Amino acid sequence: MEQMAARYAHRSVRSVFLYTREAHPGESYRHHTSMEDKRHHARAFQAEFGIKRQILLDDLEGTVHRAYGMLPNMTWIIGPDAVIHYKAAWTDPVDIEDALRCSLDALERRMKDKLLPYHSERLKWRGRDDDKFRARLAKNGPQAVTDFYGS
Amino acid sequence: MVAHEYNYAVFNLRAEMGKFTEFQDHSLHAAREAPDFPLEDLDTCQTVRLKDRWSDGLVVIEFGSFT
Repeated sequence: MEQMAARYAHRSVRSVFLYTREAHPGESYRHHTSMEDKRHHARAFQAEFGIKRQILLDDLEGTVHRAYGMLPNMTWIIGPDAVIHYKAAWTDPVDIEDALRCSLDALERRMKDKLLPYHSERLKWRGRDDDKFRARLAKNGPQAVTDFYGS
Repeated sequence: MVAHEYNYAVFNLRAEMGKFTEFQDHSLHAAREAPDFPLEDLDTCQTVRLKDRWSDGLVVIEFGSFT
């Protein structure tokens, strides 16, 4: 997502990361009980993954996260006049870039080619790597592993 | 939903999987209007408006957390 953000920055595309509650809290990264907890975790995330995108913090009640669907790793694309161009339950950079190109093309051509928008939906697929996921949970702490997989 | 309910200390697989089904019935869809909210910028600690991210073009918003 960072690489994609850099590729499209010059085409009036902003990319932001909206920091939510901890999806899989554990002993190393516990649930947030204050905004300072959230800031601390967000800074750790920024450093660990080299995030260059703007990171925006939701409030402690998750107001924005709840308004947009409350899933752990969604991506939305929103255009001028607040029109929703894309929403996905998971973040797939390939699919997002495809949608981004489509929207950019349409926005550039809409007046000249008299384009009109319409709603569509599709089913998408994502790969599963249980070993990698389990290892990632283990970094959060043993509780994160047992909460997901059981004891 | 209050903060201590939203920020669960223990992940509940069944409850969280149910959210994916609810997402399909979510009221916000493509072609509709996205709501605006204030958010805190991590680097500057300033409050910004979400709508300012899309005011002059497209914005890609990834939601997530460290865990």
